[in-house]
Amino acid sequence: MMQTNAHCWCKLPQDLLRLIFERLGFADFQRAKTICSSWLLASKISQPNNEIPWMILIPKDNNYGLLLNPEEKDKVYKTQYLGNDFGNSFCVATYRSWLLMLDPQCTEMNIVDIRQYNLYRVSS
Amino acid sequence: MSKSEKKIVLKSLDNEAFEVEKAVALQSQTIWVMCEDKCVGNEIPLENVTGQILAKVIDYCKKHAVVDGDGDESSEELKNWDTEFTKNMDQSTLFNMILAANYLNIKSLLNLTCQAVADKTKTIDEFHTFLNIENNFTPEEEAQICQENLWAFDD
Repeated sequence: MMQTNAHCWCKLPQDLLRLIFERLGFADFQRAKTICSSWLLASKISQPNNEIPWMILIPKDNNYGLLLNPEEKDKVYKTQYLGNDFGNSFCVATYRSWLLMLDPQCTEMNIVDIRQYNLYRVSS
Repeated sequence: MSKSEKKIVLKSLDNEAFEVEKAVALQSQTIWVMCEDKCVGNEIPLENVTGQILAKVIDYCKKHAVVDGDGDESSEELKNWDTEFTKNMDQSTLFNMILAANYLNIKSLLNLTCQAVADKTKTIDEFHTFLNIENNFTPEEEAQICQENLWAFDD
């Protein structure tokens, strides 16, 4: 039974794929989800394991974030549009790829998952 | 199972029999439960694992049984042994080792083998070749993926 599956990593059960995904850093995680449909699916139920924290800059009056990965010193990534007032919000807590943002009027909390946004490289 | 029964025979899918110390075999939670429940005799059929893979699993369990038992080997040495163990494993063996570790419920081996796959993702080219996967995305998924991952590949 196993031998016939030998070369099909797409058929690795989701719970096992998840074990692999949770060992990947952010960039490797993004790459691994392009392997095939079932790997993409696994990425959606897993969180990357960033051993080294990324630095996130939120430029004032802008609606995007800049991400720097210490493992790739020469790269800066820019997120896509993160909503009105994002640049003037306060980041009050982070967990993995999640940011808890407090709006400028301090009336509303938003949870932002950085993973769900497209990233663009802006410098090298 | 009486204390005098120190050895267990593990039988693979392809009918290869391996006689091992009980302490070695019991690192598998699956086998441990089978023995506890007395639902098997002294010979345990493992219908999901081939002899080739089972031999490797037993190698791993032997190594770890010795270390856990009398502790005369440092954890550093064990770690190096683990690294060597997965280093030159081909992808088909690694794949089957993950399935076997999961089926036999040997947590440390499952962690080790999953980590080995994770380590292969450092470059996507190597990863694709290593895993020998053909991409099976639908055109919609493909477009979405390309859009989402422009940044990850532009080197």
